[in-house]
Amino acid sequence: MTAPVYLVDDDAAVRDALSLLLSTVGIDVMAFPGAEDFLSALPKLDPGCLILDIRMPAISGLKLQERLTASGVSWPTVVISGHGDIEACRKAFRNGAIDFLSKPIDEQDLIDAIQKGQAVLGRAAEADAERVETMALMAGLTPREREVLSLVARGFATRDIAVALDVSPRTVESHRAAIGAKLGTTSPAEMTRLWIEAESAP
Amino acid sequence: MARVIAWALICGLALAVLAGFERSTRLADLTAQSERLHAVASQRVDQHDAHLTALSAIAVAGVEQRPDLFRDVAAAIMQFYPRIIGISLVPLDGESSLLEIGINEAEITDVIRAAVNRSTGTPVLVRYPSDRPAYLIVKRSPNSDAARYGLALVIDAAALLNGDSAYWTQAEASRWLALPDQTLLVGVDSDGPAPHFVRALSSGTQPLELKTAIRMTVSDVLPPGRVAIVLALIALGALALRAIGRQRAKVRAAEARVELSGLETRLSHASRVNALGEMASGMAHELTQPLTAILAQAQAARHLAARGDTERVAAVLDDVVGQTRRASEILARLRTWTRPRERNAEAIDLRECVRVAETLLAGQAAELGALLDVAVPSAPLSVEGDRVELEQVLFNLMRNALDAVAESTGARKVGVAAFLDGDTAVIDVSDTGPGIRPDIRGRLFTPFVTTREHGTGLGLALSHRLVERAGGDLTVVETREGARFLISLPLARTVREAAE
Repeated sequence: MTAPVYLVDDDAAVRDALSLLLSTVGIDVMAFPGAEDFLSALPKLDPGCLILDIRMPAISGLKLQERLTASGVSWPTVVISGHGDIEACRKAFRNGAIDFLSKPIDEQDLIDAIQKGQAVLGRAAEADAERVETMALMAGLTPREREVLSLVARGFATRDIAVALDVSPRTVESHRAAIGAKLGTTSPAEMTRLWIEAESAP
Repeated sequence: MARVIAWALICGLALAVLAGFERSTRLADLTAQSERLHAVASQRVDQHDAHLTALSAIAVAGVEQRPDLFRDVAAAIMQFYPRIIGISLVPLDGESSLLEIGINEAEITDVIRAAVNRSTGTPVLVRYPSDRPAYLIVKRSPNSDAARYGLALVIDAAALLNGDSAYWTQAEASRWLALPDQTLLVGVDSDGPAPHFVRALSSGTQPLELKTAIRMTVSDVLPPGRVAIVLALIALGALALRAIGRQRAKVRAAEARVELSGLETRLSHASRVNALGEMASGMAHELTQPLTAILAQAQAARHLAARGDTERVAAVLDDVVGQTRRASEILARLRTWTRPRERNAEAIDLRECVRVAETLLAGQAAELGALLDVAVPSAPLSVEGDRVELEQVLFNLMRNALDAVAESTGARKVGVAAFLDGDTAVIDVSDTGPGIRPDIRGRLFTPFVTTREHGTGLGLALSHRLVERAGGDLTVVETREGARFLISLPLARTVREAAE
């Protein structure tokens, strides 16, 4: 699985050459001549790895980075620059860049950075998938079972839960058995983990 | 005011010192003259003792028999010593004949007799009983209780004091001579100032008291000539002090100038270093772009070659060649602008300068999506100047304009219009950017004034200087939108002459 790579650089020659280079190693690149072009295309784009040139007219790479962060897009970003400018480098990393490369860029450095970005994206995708799965499992619980699970996750024993819900301990036991069957685990720790994951999901 | 008072004080002090000096000089003079007078007078009165002794001896030896001898000697003495105006030999027994030489007054005889009666051995001094300033010195003869005669010399006190010194003839000098009992002989009582010199003559028989004084007026202690000299010296001193002060101020000013020029030198050096830094930084960035492309293309070509895709390798190599040319053009431009060169004024066509700048900036304009609208007349715009310098000016103005429209979110247009206005060639460079900030509008052509984060503030300052060097002017024009600059340059002479 490879996520798409987006390149934003105002220099046509650089854009074309980097796209060509990455295509020869099997990485497809979508290139944009400026920040505005990228931002207008953004809604239709899949999550991918960003390569941003710092020095661009109108909106610099760093400003684009800030805008993306502000609008909740946290794709892995590699910042490239013609200057070995430490201040710009610091800003880029503070904005969450995963790498900072100086032009001219060696292919291996670029590929490594992209792979690092893709790994980040992959982990994010996995986490997303896991969360989707958890949500699906949770969706299978009845409201009462969810209530019982929340108390289990908080560390209450069956007897305490029975008192709290004003039911018999036996009833609580049967709820727990049903929850275990639906979530595929009988371990209170695992149940707690799933519950926390579901609660922290947006 | 304070200065006037200070000078008045200094003048007063100097005059007081002068007066003191003059006074002490005059007193010292008086003392010296008085000492001399005292010595002469003392010596003279001593002679009287000798005469008395001689005359007494003659009288005792037998004046009865030889009165003529006594007369002769007395006459000789009086002839040699004119101050002795009379000699009198008075017999005490009243029988012998009275001998009087030079005087003939009856009461003198009684005075002499009375004096002899008072005498206890030393001669007696008596005021001469007339208006003449004279005194009698009376001696017993022989000088014992068995004296038979009273011998007297009548001495003119004024003549006693006469001398060759002109000092005492001046009106300011006063002198008094008195008998030891304070009977005044010479001088007027209560006349003039208190005496400065008082001394008795050094004579055992005639310790006459000599007093002298000098009267000093303001013009004496402050002689106008010396006062003038002193005041002149003070004035000269003041002038000299002022001159020294001015000289010091000049030296200080010169030192300040040297320091300032050192500062200017450092500043100009700093500006050169800055300009160089900016240029190097700009060049580095510009060169980085083609190098980045070349590196990527070369690495891509290696992959393609490995795959045997020679067709695409050839295409990529063409791109490499193109990017290499781009880099060498950048370097050529750098060389043209940085090589130390003689300014070469010649007749040049401004349209060509505009075209060169347009060519250099077309790429940037295209990337910005800015419209570079250049309008030049069909006829040449010939001016006298340095081609490269004027190209640089146009490049600077147009690049500034492009940078300005890059910040604009609306229309991005840079207009360059060259036209002829009478004898002047004008190039109008305008943009649709955010315009010039009011706070730096007045200092636009001042070095180091910039609104760009990494700008040195030298571009417009340099452009302004270069246009002025070509005999023209670079001005900023008030507009509602964006910024607008006008370059006006006088037409080359040949063109103007041809037109006439």
